[in-house]
Amino acid sequence: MNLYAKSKFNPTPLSKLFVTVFLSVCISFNTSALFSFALVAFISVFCMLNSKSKLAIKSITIYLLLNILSFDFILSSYDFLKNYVLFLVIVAKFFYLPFLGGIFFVATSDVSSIIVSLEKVKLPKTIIIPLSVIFRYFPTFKEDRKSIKDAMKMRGITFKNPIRYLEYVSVPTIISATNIIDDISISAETKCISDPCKKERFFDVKYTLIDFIFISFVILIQIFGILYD
Amino acid sequence: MSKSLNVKDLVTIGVFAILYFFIAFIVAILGVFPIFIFVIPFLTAVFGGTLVMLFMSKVNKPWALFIFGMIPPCIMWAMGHTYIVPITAILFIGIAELIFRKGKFTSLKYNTFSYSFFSCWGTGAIIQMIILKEQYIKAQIQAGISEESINQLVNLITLPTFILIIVITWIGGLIGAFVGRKMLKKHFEKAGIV
Repeated sequence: MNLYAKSKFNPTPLSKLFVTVFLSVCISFNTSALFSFALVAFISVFCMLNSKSKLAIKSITIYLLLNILSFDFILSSYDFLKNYVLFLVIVAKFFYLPFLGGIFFVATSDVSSIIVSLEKVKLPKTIIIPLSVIFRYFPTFKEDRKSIKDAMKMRGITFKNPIRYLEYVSVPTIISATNIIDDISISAETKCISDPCKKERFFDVKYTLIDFIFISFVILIQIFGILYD
Repeated sequence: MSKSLNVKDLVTIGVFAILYFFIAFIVAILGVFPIFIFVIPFLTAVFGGTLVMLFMSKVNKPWALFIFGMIPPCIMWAMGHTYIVPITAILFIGIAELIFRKGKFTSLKYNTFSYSFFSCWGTGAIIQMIILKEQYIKAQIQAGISEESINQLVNLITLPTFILIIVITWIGGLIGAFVGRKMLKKHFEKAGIV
């Protein structure tokens, strides 16, 4: 399934990556709460446009909850536990925007469009292939973890003996990973990935108006947020 | 044996990098207790040993370890850490790569020491606290955290502690490498994976 080619409102993977890095650079500045909320809402709207409404609603609700919690705790008197929860909430709020950008990037891009757009900036193959494998492997990894958990439940291995538990989790995970490595490299080989010739793609990754809107709005909101703090 | 990385090696790098990042991520969840922040690199070193030792025995080529090691710090950089993290990572993983090459990629002794240096990249997250101390305190105060709890942490961030952390992490790397060697013998050599 090709997420990128399907939707008109999907920015190119490169612009999504750029936005994530930009947001992570900006967390060292102080941004006013209203503008950060506008950023979260803006990225959520993009999630919705790409038919990820669940993610959009989730991200807005979590952000609102974090805000309400931190506001509540600042007003109340300090207490060790309260101070502690406040610390967690504030750290979560601190890293929320770049994290959201990263989730948006992973949820709405697929491997082929990532490869094409990274090739466009002439990155070497030694970086492109590991990066694209990372995105390809995430869903399989999740499935594997679930089946290993089920198998362990059946045999009655619990967390009571942590060292044995860790061994029983890690060994099958690594063995299944090595099997997957074989699968992926064979399928990549058949798709001629190591051939240095020029390749014809099913679709092209183009910079359109939507990229411009996406990047410029994020930058504008962020800059105004810093200025009007 | 050709010395340049082929597709299979690159795919191996990608998959192992995820597993390694996953281990580092799970250990980093301990960081919700501020005191544990200093133990995170040590624990990552111990638990990541098996994985990296297996990786070293699977891919015996130059640059493989370097590319593999640089992926987690770069993900961390993209997710909000400062540029200090990748810079420390380049330093320590560069040393690891040199030792890995010196042992001709197969010597167990050299690989063990190589891993102990490799695992020190995790200290970058703490080094950034010492270098950007002022900025760090300011950001925390602006965020509304009380000064007591910041001071608790900041008083600990000094040069001696920080050298101690690197040494501890290095020892953790040695422990991890020995555990990894044991695990390799016990499970993976039998299964024909190495």
